Amino acid sequence: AFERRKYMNVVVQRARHPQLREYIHSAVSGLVPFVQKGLVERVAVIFYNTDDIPIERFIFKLTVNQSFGSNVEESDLEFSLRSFLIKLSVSQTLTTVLPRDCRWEITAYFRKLPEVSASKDAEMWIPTDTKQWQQPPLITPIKSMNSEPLGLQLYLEHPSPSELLSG
Amino acid sequence: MSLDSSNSKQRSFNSTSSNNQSNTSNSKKRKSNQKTLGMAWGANSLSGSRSSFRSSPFSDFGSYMEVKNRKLRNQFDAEASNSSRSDSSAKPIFDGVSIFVDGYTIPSSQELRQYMLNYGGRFENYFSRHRVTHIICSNLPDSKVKNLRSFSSGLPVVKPMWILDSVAANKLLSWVPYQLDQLANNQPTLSAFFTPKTKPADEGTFTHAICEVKHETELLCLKDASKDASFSEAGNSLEWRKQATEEHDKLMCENPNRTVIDGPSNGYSEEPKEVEVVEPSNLQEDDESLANYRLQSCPEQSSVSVSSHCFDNRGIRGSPRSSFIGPSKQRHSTLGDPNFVENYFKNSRLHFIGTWRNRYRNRFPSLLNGWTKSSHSDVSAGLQKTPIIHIDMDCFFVSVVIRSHPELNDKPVAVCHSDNPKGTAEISSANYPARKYGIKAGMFVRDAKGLCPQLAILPYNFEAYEEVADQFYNILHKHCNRVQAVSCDEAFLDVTDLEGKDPQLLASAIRKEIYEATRCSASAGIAKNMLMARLATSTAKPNGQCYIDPEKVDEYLDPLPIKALPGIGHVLAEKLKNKNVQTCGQLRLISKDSLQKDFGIKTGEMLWNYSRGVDNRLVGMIQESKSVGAEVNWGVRFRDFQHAHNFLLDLCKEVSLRLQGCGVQGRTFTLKIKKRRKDAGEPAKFMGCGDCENLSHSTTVPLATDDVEVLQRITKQLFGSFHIDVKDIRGVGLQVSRLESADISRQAPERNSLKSWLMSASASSKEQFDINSRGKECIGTDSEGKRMDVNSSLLHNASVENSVHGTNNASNGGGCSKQNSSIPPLGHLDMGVVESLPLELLSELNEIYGGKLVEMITKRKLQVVEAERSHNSDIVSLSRSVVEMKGEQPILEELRAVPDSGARPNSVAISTAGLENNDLVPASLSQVDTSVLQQLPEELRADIFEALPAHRIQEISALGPKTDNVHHPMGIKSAADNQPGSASSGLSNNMWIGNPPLWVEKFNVSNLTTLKFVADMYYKANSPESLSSILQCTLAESLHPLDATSDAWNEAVHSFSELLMNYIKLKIGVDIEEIYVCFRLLRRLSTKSEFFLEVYNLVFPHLQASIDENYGGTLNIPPHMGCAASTIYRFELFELEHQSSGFSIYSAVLVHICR
Repeated sequence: AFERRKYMNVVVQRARHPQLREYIHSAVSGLVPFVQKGLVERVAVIFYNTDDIPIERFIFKLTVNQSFGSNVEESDLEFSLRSFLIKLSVSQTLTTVLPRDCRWEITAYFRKLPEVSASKDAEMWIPTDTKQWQQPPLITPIKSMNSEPLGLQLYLEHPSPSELLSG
Repeated sequence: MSLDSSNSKQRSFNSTSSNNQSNTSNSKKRKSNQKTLGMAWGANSLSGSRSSFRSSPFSDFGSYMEVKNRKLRNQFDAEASNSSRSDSSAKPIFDGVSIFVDGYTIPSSQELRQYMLNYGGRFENYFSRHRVTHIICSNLPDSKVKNLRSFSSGLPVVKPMWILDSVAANKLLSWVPYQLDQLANNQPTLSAFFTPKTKPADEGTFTHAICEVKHETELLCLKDASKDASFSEAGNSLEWRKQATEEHDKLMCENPNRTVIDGPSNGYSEEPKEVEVVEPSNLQEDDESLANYRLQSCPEQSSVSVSSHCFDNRGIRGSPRSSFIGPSKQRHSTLGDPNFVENYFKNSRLHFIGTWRNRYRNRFPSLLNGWTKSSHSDVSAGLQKTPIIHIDMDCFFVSVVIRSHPELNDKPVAVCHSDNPKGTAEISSANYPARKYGIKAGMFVRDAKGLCPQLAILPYNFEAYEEVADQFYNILHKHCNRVQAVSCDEAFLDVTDLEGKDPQLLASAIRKEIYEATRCSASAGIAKNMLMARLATSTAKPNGQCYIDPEKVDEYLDPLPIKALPGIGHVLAEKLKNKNVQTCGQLRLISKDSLQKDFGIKTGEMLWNYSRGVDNRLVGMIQESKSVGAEVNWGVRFRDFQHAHNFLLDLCKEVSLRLQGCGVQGRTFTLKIKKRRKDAGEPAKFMGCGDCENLSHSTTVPLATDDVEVLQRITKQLFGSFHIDVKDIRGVGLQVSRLESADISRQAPERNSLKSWLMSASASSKEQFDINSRGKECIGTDSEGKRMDVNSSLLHNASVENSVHGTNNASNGGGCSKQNSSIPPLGHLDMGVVESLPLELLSELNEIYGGKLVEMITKRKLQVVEAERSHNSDIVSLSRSVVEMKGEQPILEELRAVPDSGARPNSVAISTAGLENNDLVPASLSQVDTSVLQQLPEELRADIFEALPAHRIQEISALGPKTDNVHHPMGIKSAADNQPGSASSGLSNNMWIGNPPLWVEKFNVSNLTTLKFVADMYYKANSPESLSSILQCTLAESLHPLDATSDAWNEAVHSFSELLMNYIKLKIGVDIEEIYVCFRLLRRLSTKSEFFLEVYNLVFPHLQASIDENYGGTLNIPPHMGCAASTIYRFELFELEHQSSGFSIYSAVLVHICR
């Protein structure tokens, strides 16, 4: 379902299915204006099992320095982001083996809800009623980077063992 | 083969000597030569093919190909030897380049071959991985793209433009941008994300029309009807000379010559090329019509056949042919042969207006730059009261001309380039008496004459226009320093600064002065903004002035028809009319939202604002032109391809001149063509373009240019891509955009090098090399002895790394100054600098000084060693690498490595690791890790300093803070600042501040072995700012078991825990990965050491609490017990980050992990 592609000179996996690709693309590009405004705190890619209970969450935690001027050290930033992508591609060992028939979604956590009237972009996003874990999850950091004006951390969340027992 | 070589000898003789010979004999000779050459060719190819068919000398295909290839190469060499350019002293452009052309290309492979011949490259007919360096092709089949490696063997696959542009730039350009699109690395880069962000800021508030130098249809008409008739009869056979502006004969020669050369695209054809030299037989000059416009009809075509063979086509370029054609061309120029493109623009009013801007800018450059910045900041504040004066000359084009015809003062007068009463020339301007008859600009002359038979039609007088416009602006700039020129006869003045004066009085004073100076009247409008001022002027005209009080804006606007507003044209007015809106008053009743819904956001907002008299534009400077170009839409009728080509070349010259006039160079070239529609007949307007399709093609080159030749080449290519019948072309325009200032693009490299001298803060060897070579260039060009002094003194002030570069530069200066025989005396040399020179340079310098230099260095070295030896008792481990001088004095330095016994572990590690050239002694302190230096005992430091030249000490004292910046990523500092004194815990955050961080000092002075050990690790770690690398080191070193009984135990545990908690606090927000790594390392340490186990157990709850607080979870660190049972080896990826050089090395390190 995925093919190897080169993006920003890094090998990445890209979905083959056009609709899936469209979903990913629209979700990510739909977030851009909010990221620019600094509204987005975290972006999560959540995997659910058949009971709609999340079993694995990839969290991208964003820190965008709004006050930062335009003199971005592009090369630095590019370098950091690239190492990010590379780390992501080799972090397979950290993940759990997913059961069959999983589904997943992209969820963004906002610092505050955007005003709907502000732009049409907001309409694309709907509030979720994702089931949350009862217990604090186990966190496995994958990669952190901080290159002004962007700080980005990626970590995995797994349900804590006690959660699994209770669930 | 023998035939061939003799032939080439002949040819070379011909091409070099023919200059001296007369034209006729030359051409004859060339013809005969041509024949022999053709025969030679035939014979050659014949023998080749025959021999392959006849079994004889070749055993198999392979050997046949081998011989064939060899022969082809020999042929190529023979040709290259006599066709390469005469100025062979310089290295040819394509030296070492060997191309293989794959498939169809533009230009053809034979042309490319010719380029390679002329510019020292090689051309392979058959692909060979060993000989070919570049594959040239325009297009690749999909199968080859997919299987690129097997096709190209890893060689670069480049577009032919690479060769052309390299030739144009006269240097070998990097092939990378020319990589075939199909294969090119189309990877997006981050910069794509940044550009849109910065754009809006650039777009000024002023949305004035782009001042594109564009020229529309202009009528150049003939005097009387008879000529018209004869003209249309003659039809296509009529020749319009279109020859560009050449005053100089030399240029005249070049032009036709070029066309000949560019003509033959069918490489080896043996047909003699025909060059047509068109001579006018019948010149009808018309004195009463436009001064410098001459029609030349029925030109006789005297075609002179000039033999041209592909072989020597390029080689003789510029020599025999130009001398041959030269004389015949000279006759044209002496006759004052008119040329179309030049005359076309000479007679174009729009051209005048367009180019006037540049003239204006050149006249008032300082005025334009002086106030723009300040105005942008303060105008927004004073927007309400800003009085703006709009001044417009009354029917400028007429009134200027009328000055010399006082008898026409009150008569209806129009300006047009032709006064043929039946002509279809368009009236460009009419005075007020004429306007009463309903005469308007843009009307055909014959219609105007119909309305008003007594209408006087006068020609343009561009010199007078220029003169008046200059006077006009002189007056304006005298009165006010904020002038925005709209056109040559129209301007806005911002008189906010002139508070004391009444703007109305000022306006009348200006008008009076203008009238006195130019004898032309001007009208003025005064209002609070540009929109209202302009409207006021239209009320004031002619020869009046009008003031609109801010309170009376609505009153003024209410009855105003909407078409009077700028920006509302026919289409928009018609739409509004359908909505029953005809005046501004009615327009004002519509809400902004519905306006924006109907007309788009921008237009809607404009309508809403304008109907209320709101205009936020500022009186600003002329916008930078975004494109420069020239377009001819009138009188364009091409007879054949060659004819069209000549026209294009002339157009290029015009554009190039304009580019140079504006002082810009462009990268994107757009060729626009108006193509007659199939069903369109001859247009109503004589020689006009009529109903046309507009086609355009564009291309972008990597290097901005204003060079005629490059333009012509690009244009030809673009023209070729249209594939249309030249007879259908009714208009041609060439536009250059993506402009760069010519000055900047010329200065850029210089500035860069200076900048990197001062700015570069990393000592990566690659950069060093760059700067080195740059410095060489720099010094090489103006090799003055003083230059070196400047360099070195400059560099002493520079930062550490720079001084490393700097010494190299200075040394280059030294190398150069050798030739100047101005060697500085030995005593003046800065030994610190000299010693850190690369060995080759050092030995070179040594030769200059007759060997004294090395002696001196050795002496100094010994001193240093002595000083260090005296402190041997301190157990200082000094590791130094060995220097090997070429041949002489092999060992300058002792290699000593005293093992660290642990009693007082002051390790002096002289940083040699980072240096690429290990054979270089870090004699200059600039290469010594300062943090290490600072850790040395006071006495030792003093001794080392003593051994160094005096100025070095300053450098060292300045060293501390600088290295701080280098080693210390901003992240830590800012993070520490972010949490200055959070009261949640009693711990102070500042253990990690400073370089080295405070804790290092603290641990060092404490008498606890473990802590000291960790502090040591700080210096050993690769990147000491991260705890993980310190712990990594700690883990790598074998740890002595601690005595758990001592009192210090608790203290040590406490200190270390405190350190960790500080670190957690610092990193929790930004880098949990680091924390994660740290704690996993710690956990591994804890299996070895009781000490770390206790620390780990102590801090772990704190860590989890912090994580929970920040991330709502617990860190997933696998339990550390039971690791003995199963030991897993895993690969972990470590990035060795070379931030400065921008590349990364990934190395997989086998890491021992306990689970």
